[in-house]
Amino acid sequence: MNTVLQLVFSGIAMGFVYALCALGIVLIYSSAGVVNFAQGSLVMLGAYIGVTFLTKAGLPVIWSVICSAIIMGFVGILFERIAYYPLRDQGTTIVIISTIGVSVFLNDGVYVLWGRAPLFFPPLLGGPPLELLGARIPPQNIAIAAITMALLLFQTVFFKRTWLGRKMRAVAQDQDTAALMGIKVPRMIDFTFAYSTILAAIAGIFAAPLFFVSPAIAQILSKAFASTVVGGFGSIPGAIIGGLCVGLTETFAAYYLSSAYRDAWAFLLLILFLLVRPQGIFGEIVAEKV
Amino acid sequence: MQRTSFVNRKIVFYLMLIVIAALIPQVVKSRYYMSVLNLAAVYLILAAGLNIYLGYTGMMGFTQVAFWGIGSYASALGMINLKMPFWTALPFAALFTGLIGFLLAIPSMRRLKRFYLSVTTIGFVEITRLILENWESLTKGADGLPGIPRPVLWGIRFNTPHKFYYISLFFVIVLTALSYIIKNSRVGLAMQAIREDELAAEVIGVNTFRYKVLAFTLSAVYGGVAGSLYAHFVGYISPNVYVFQEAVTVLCMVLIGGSGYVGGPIIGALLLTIVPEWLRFMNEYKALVYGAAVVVMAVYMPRGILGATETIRARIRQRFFGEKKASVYPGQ
Repeated sequence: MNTVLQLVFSGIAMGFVYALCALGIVLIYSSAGVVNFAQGSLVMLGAYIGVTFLTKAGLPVIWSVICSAIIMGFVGILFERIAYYPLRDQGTTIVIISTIGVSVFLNDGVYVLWGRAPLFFPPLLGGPPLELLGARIPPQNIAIAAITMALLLFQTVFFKRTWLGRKMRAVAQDQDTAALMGIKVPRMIDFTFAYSTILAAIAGIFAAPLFFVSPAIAQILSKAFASTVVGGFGSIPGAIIGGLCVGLTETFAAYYLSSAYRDAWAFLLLILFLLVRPQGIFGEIVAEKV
Repeated sequence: MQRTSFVNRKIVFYLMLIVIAALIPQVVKSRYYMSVLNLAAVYLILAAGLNIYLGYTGMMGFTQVAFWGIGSYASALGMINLKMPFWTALPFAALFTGLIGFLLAIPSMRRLKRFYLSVTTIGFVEITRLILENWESLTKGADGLPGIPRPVLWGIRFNTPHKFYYISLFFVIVLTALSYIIKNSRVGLAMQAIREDELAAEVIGVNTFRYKVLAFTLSAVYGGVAGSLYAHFVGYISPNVYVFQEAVTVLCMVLIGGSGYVGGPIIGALLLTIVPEWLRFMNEYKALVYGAAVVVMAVYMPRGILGATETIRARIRQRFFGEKKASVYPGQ
C-alpha cells in the first residue's frame, strides 16, 4: 500500500476542513476588522445541527447540509448582533473577549440541547474505498475535496460577478468609502457573518464523520488560526493554502514523528512562520494603519 | 494637606483589609471553607497576572492556565526530584515559568497585530498539556503527581488549610502590592499607554516591544507562584487540572472585578470562587454561565465592577456637586 499517497489524501481532506474554518475567520476579519474566536464553536454547532437533520430527522445528506447551512446563516447574523455589533467602535481586544464568551457558551450549551455523549455521524459517502496507485481513499475524502472546490469556485464567481459580492468586497476594502457610495455597511457585515457561519456549518459537517460530534470539534479553531497565519493573515487564497499546509504537516508529522503530539505540530508550524516569515505565504508586509 | 490625609486614609483602609484577612482563620472554623479561600488565593494571583497584560497592556491571551501548570510541576518536581525546600522551590518555579513566558513572548510580540498573541497562546496551552501528559518519565503522565510535600518553616508544617492560608495571604499581599507599584510606575504608565494606543505610544518613544514582553513575563511569574502554591496546597497535581476552561474562569474574574484596576482581580477572584459554592446546583452549567457573563460584561460593563462604580461615583459627583466632567476613564 502506498503510504505516502494515502497520507497525502487524508491530509488534504483535513486541510480542506481547516481551510473552510480559516476562510470564515479571514472573511469576517477583512470586512469587520475583528478576529472571531468563536469560529471553532460555530463549526461544532454546525456539526451538531447537521447530525440532527441527518439522524433525527432522517433527511438525506445533501438536504441536511442545505438545511444546516440556512439555519447557521441566521445563527451567524444573531451572533454578529450580540457579540460584534454593540462593540464595533471599541478596541479589538474587547471584541476578541466577547467572541471567546460566545465560544465558551456554545461549547457548553450543546450539552444542554444534545446531551454529553458524543454523537456518531455516518460517513458522507458510503461505498468501498477507491484504489488509486496503491492508496485506498475513502469516498468521503473525495466528496470533501470536491464540495470544497465547488464552493470555492462559487465564492470566486459570487465575489467577482454579483453586486452583493462586490458590495461585500467594497466594505472589506474600505468601510467609509463604501458607505459614501451608498452601500449599507452594517447590512453587508451581516451578510459576511452569515456567509462565514455557513462555511463553518459545512466545515462542521465535513469534520463530523472524521471525528465524533462533540465539543472537541471546536478545537479546530487553533488549527484554523495556524492556517490563516501560515497562508498570510487576511488573504483568501492564503487561508486555503494554509489550511492544506497545516492538514498535510499534521498528518505526516503524526505518522512519521509522533502521534501523541498530533495537536502540537500545527502550532509549531505557526511559531516557525511567526519567526521566519510572519507575513505568511501570500501576505505582504504592510504598515499598520493609523 | 487634604491630599496627604486622603493618602493616609487609603493606607489605613488597606491595613484594615489586611488585618481582617489575617483574622479570618480565627473566625472560620470549617476546613472546607478555608480550602475554598486558599484556592481563591491561587485564582487571585493568576487573575492578577492576567490583569498585568490584559488590564494594563490591553493584550489578550490564555497562557495563565499553562503557566499555572508549568509552575505547579516545576515547584513539585523541584521539591521531589531536586530536594529543594518549599522556599527555594517557589522562587524556582516563578523564575522558570517567567523564563518560558519570556521565550514565548519574543516570537509572539514581534508583530503589531495583537491577536497573534491570542492565537499562539491557545496553541501554547495545548502543547503544555500534551507535554505534561506525554513526558511520563518526568511528570508521571495523565495519572498525575501525588505526594507533593507541604511547606515547612521554622519547624511549622503548613499542612492544614488554616495554616496554609497564611502563606497564601502573604503571597497575595506581596503580589498585589507589586501590581500596585507597577501600575503607578513609569513601567505601568508605558503599559497603559500601549493599551490606549500602541502606535501613539511608540511614536512618543515607548519601546512597546520591550514593555509587552515584560508584561507577558510578569504574568508568567505570577502564574508560576500561583502554580507552586496550588501544588503544595493540594498535594496532588495532574495535567487535566490545567484545561482551557480554567483560562476562561480566570478571564471572567479579571473582567468581572474590573480589568486594569489593582483591586479588580481581588473582587473577581473572591466573587467567582465563593459565589459558586452557594450556587452549587448550577455547577453542571458553570461554563455556560461564565460564557454568557463574559459577553454581557464585555458589552455592558467592559471595565467590570470597579469600573462601573467609578463611573457611577463620577456621575453622582457631577450631578450633585456640579463638578466638571472629570475624565471618568479613557476608553479602552
